[in-house]
This record gives sequence, structure tokens and C-alpha cells, in this order.
Amino acid sequence: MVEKKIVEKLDSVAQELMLIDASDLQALGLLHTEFEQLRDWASDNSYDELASLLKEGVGILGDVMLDNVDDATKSIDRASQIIATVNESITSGKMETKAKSKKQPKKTASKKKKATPPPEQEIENFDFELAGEFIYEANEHLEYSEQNLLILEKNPDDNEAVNTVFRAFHTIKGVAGFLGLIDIKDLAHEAETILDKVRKGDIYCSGEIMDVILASVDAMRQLITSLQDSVSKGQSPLQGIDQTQIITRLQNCSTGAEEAPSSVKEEKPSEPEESMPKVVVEEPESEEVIAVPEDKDKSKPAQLAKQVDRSLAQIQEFMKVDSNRLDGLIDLIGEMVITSSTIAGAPEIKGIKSVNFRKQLRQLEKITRELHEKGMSLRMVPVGPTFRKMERIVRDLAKKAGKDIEFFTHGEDTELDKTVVDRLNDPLLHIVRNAVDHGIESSGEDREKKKKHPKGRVGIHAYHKGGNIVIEVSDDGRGLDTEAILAKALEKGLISGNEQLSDKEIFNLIFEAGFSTAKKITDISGRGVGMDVVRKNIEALNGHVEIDSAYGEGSVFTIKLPLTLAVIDGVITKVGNERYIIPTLSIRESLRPKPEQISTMVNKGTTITLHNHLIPLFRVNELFDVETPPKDLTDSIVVVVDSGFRQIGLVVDELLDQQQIVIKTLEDTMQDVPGISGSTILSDGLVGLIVDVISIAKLADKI
Amino acid sequence: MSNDLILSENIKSMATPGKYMVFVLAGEEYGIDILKVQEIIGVIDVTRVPKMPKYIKGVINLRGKIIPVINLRMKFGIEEIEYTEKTCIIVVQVARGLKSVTMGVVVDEVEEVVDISSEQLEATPDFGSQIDMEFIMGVGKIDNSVKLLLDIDKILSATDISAIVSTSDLGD
Repeated sequence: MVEKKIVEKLDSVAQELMLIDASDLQALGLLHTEFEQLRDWASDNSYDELASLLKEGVGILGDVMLDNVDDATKSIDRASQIIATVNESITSGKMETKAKSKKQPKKTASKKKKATPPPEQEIENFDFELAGEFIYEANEHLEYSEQNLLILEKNPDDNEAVNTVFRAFHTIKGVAGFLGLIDIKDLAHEAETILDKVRKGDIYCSGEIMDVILASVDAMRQLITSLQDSVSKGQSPLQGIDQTQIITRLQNCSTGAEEAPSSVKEEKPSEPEESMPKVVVEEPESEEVIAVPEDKDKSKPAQLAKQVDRSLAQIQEFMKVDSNRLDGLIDLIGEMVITSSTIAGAPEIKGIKSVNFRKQLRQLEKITRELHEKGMSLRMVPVGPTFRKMERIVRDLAKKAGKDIEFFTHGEDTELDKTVVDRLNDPLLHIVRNAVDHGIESSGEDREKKKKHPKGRVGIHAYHKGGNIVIEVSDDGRGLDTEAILAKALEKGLISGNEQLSDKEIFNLIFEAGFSTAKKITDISGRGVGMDVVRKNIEALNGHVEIDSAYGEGSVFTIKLPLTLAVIDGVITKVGNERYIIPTLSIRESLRPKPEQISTMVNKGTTITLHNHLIPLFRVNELFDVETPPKDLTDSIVVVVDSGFRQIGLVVDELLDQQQIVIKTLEDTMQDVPGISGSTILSDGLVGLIVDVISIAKLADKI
Repeated sequence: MSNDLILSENIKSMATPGKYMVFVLAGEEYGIDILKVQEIIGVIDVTRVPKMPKYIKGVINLRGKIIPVINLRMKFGIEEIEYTEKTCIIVVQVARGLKSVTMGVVVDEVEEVVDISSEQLEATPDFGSQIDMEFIMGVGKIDNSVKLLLDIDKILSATDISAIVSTSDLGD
């Protein structure tokens, strides 16, 4: 987590504490969760003092909730105090971290930089503009470095990787010095020193050395982030942050004796591969769900080849463009597409017989389409870097949990709108964490008993399908237990127990708010706050997420997203004289029901039976008060959609077309129309409304 | 006394001298501050939005922007009539807090733009037209005719909408 987010969180918690009523259990519950998250953040970052303070806070709130305190107000005051202390520690930049208990070799008396930092001070004549560029490039350097370090970890002889990281820190050091950013310069210097020794062969890059370098990348990131913070506020950044801990570590490692190579993480490319147990997926494509052994046989030549490609890629030029201008341009292109097709579809135009004219018209449409595609592509970035981040997380988490996990990615070149990629980061992270934490079994023996590969496998696979991008996160771990899920859902009141749910529907119950079947709540997941937020975030991107699993074999999370935020793929349906658009991502299937599939039940209304399941039907004309003569169900079309965890059938008259839809928000006056999520302009120039498949069910419940 | 309904957003605005766009609604003449008028368009097909009050006819596509259209007769509780060739949609920009919102209002006929000076302005009379005095900021007297000056910002207040959306039995 980033400092800025934490500060904001602390501020909001502080505020809530001031306003809270000690008898408001719900608010206390929420605060309790926030405290827990803060505590976890603190201990993840080794701020042990803060962590124990926050732990105290968690306990206090718990006691207040259980009414175990004499003076609730006093306890809440104490909680406020704790937040204030934590807040102060962070903003004053003096974070006390306990050094990790490691055997540190005796420090030899060599000339080292003194670890006592100068008192905090501002920089004179700070060059803000240059700083902006520096921040952007430094972040790129750090990301690139991290990628290379992970490669290095698997292949300690890869000198090119070391060189790249060395050069990155060297560059950062240079510009930082020029800008007067002493803290960054100092840290970069120490990192550069140790990297230099590694690339010269003076030190072998062992597990511990790797850890320390990665830690310095993290520390550098934090420095850059707080620099960014200051710069965005127009403040000259304060120098003199206490970095003793990381700097001492770096110095010790660089002067310490060579360490024996730690064997846990190293992979030998020649290891025989067992075939992966196939996890049940709903759409068996020709590509396998879990990345196939080919990824693993990364021998040296392949690596070098990749590096050459990378350096070539670096030569490619980039331009920084104001994103508002870009959006404006893309909007305009969108308008043009609509106007162009309106003209082409106009009867007067259609009536023109001239061959030359028709040729020109086709040309215009073609150019418009290409312009549209190019425009969209401007905002596209590959998902690769996001996957890299996941790789780092998996490594750290697996290590922490003491699990042996291999991580695969496939489809790094798949491209997505930049905003979508940014917003995908958190939910994807959570899913990956879930796979590591809950999915993969705790020990190799558990896995061996089940005849599984001793190393757990977690993989991400991205590809284009239809007008969307699909991202599958799979693991070959425990899989989901339908019995446990049903029991939990019943317990939490998420279901009544009368519904007949398919396995798929049961699995997807885990996305409902307040759900968690983790028997032991760990640091990372298991507090029941996660999955529903994940789904919300993905739905906010007009996407869709679901899970499939085979108990004992593993699970697959499938995320489907439209290529950009502004455009979705939708099916235009006809209801009476009106048209409503249903997003393709939500559609499972559409059919014209046969009489034998239809049944009416007293408490369930009309349903159809599909694949042995009863799917409740809702007539869109009734829900939306469309005037239309009653139509027989067998004359209508039923569109089966995912609404929350259940499937429902929307009854429409006809399906008209399927196409890419440019989403236009309804202005302020028309926000929160129940059952409608947005609008678009159809090819005849009229407005089409987009159905919100989740809230339409709620509308139905009211009828 | 004029009917001061307590609308949390704004107190009653007073008409100021200036140019007003005059239109006709059920035989009466009304004026809207010209600065709020964006354009006038002929009646076009409106896409109905479900679960909205009847006076919100739906939305239209105005050169790529989707705006709601309100039938002013229905808003004021006057009987709706069939559109004639004189029926127009006046596209206005109304204030909603700090933001400005674009919407269209359907009127019977658009007449002209007039200049109303401070001498011609008068306070709203007690008795009135067929519509609620709450929407009238003042009266402009030009020659022998009286134009009721409309507070267009009030026509669709946020309270209207939120009250609308939360109730479940509506739009029938």
C-alpha cells in the first residue's frame, strides 16, 4: 500500500471515531475492519511499533463491540489516540522499523557513508518540471528493474539483467543528485554499490542479496511516491528521511561474505514435467487454462533473445500526451462513427445509385472505422507489466506462507485501455492472493498425497475473445467445496436454502458481500471483505467475473472486460416499439423457449428449465412499462443473464443486432434509473437504453 | 402572497431586466432568460425512459449529447395536446447547484425574443395563471400583454428526481 492511501485512510478513520456512537455496532464493525487493514499494512511493512499499536486498537474496538468495557467513550478515545500517533509517525517521516532478525556479519571498518541523516530540510530552488519527468522515468526504471531482478532470481548467471538494474539505479542516482534529492541519491548509491559487486562477480547474488535489493527497490518506490506527493502539492520535498535500516542492510550485505546459494527458489529447466490436471472450465478453448510447460523451458538462449527484444523495444519512441486531449479526440471519433453510419443508412443516401458515389461512401466508412480503431488503440497498453507485479507478489506471499509456488503468465502482450489496466490491478491482486493463500495447499506433502506436482502452480492467462478481453487466473490447489460454501451462505443469510443452485451458482456465492470460508483468518485474505469488492470493481469496469472449480484439483477465476471503458459489446433487443440493449458480457445464452421448457410455480412465477435448472423469467415489457400487446412466450426470446450470483431470463420480443456500443452516461437528471445503466446512440440517431442486469432483478422483485 | 414552497436548494429568484425568449403554453405567454437558452429545435423522436414521472418524456440525442426532455404542459398539470407543426423543444441550460445541466422543454409555440426593462418588470400577482406561482419569478408588461417570467432552474429540481426514483409505484 502506498503512503498517501494510508494517510487518507487514517484521516477517515479518525473522523469516524470522532462521530461514532458506541452503540452503533455496524459502524464499529466497519471501523474494526479498517483497523485490521491498517494493522496488516503496518506489519507487512515491518513497522512493528505501529503494528502493535494498531493491534491494540483492533482489540479495543472488538471489546467495545462485545460490550466488554466499562467506559466505551474512553476506549474510543484511546482508539483515536492510536490513530493520531500512527498518523503523526507517518507524516513526520520518522517510521520506526525493527530490523529483521538476521545474522549480520561483523561490520568491517571500511569507509562507509555515515548512517546519521541530516535534519529534515527543504531543497532550495527545486526544479519542479524536471522532477516530474524524473518521477515518470524513475518509476519506469524501477518497474523494469523489478522484472529483471525476478529473472535474475531464476537465473543468477544472467549478467545482462544485473547490468540493467545497475544502470537503472545509476541513472536515478545521477538525476536525483542533480535535483538535490539527497535521500534518493543516497539509497541509489548503496544499491548501486552492491549491484556493482554482483555484476563484477565479487558477490554471488544469493537469496538474501536478492531480498535486500528487492527491498531497496521497494524503499526507492516509496521515496519516489512521497516525492510525487510533494510535487503534486507544489511543495519542495523534504530531505533527510531516516533510511538507516535499509542502508545498513545494503551496506552489510555488500561487505558481508558471499552467501551460499539458497536452493529453494531456483528452478532447473531440466526438471521433468507432469501433465497438469485440467480444471473444469466452462469454455474449453484450444488454449489450455493453465500455462503449459513450454513456458518453463526457458533456457538461456531464449532469455537472451528476450533481452535483445527488450533493448530494441527501448529504442521505440514515446510521446507524452495530455490524456484529456486524447479522450476528447476519441470522443470526437466516436461521434464521427455514429454520424457516418447514420448517413450511410439514410434512405436518401441508400437511393443514390451512382457507382462512384457508393464507392466513395464505402471508402468513407472504411476510413472512419479504421480511425476509430486507431483512436481506441492510442489508449491501449499491454497487460504484461501488471502481470509482472503479480509475479513479485506471488513470490513474496508464497515465501511468507512457506509455500512452494510457480507462477506462469500467458498473453502479456494482450492490450487493454490504460485506465482499465490501472483499475484492474487491485482486483487482480486480490484474486491472485486468494489463489496463493487459500488455493494452494500448505505443504508439499498434502499435494503429493493427491498426486499433484509438489510445486503449486498459479497462472494468469489473457486473451481476446469477441469484443472483449478475458483474463483467467488459475491454480491447481484445493478447489472449492460446495458443501462448505452452501453452509456458509445459509449461515450468513445469503440464501434461503430453498433455491436449487447449480455448482457454478454455488461457487459464485463467494462474491456475495460478507462471505468467507477461510477456517483461519490470515494476514492477507479471509476476512470476508474481499471478493465482493473485487466483483464491484470489475463491474465498475463494465466487466464480469466468475469462478469455476473442481474440488481437490483447483480453481479458475475468469474475468471478462470490454476493451475500453467507453465501449461495450451489446445485443440490441426489441420490446414493443422500444429498444433495449443488453451487455454481451452478461449474457449466458438466448433462446426461443419451447412449451415443454416453460412452467409456472406459485412462489416462483414463470420459469424455464434450461440445462436442468429453473431460471426465473421476467418480462421486460412489464418491468419497463412498455405498451405492447401480450405475446406468447414461445413467440418471444428469452435472454439468460447473470444477475448477481443467480441467472435470470429476460423476455424480449426480438433480438435485433449485436454490435459495439459507445456508452453515454445519462446526465445528472437521470442517474439511478432503476434497471438502466446507461445509454447510447443507435445507428438511426435515436437513443438506446442499456439494461443494468443486476438492478433489473431488484425492479422485478418489487413487482 | 406568492407561494414560497420550501425547496432546500434555492430561495425564490427575482426576475431581472434583460432579454427573454417568449413562448406560448396553453394560450399564455411565458419568458425564459435568454442566457439560459441554448437553442431551439423542432420536435423529434424521444426515447422513453421507464420509471420516470410522466412529464419527463424521455431522452434525445442532441448532436451526441443525451439530454432529457420535459413536457412543460404536463409538468404544470395542464392537459397534454398533440404536437402541431408549431410545437418546439427549447434546449436550456439550468443551474443545479454549481453545475449546469442541459435539458429540453416542449412548448406549444415559440414567439420572439423581447427586451424587458426594469420599468416593465412587476412582482408576481397573487392570482394567477393555470400554473403554480412557485415557478414564476416575476411579470413583464410589454404594451398590453403580460409575459410570465419562468424560473427555469426550478423546473426540474433534484428533490423531484430523488423523490421520484425512490418510490416504487410510479410511471403508470
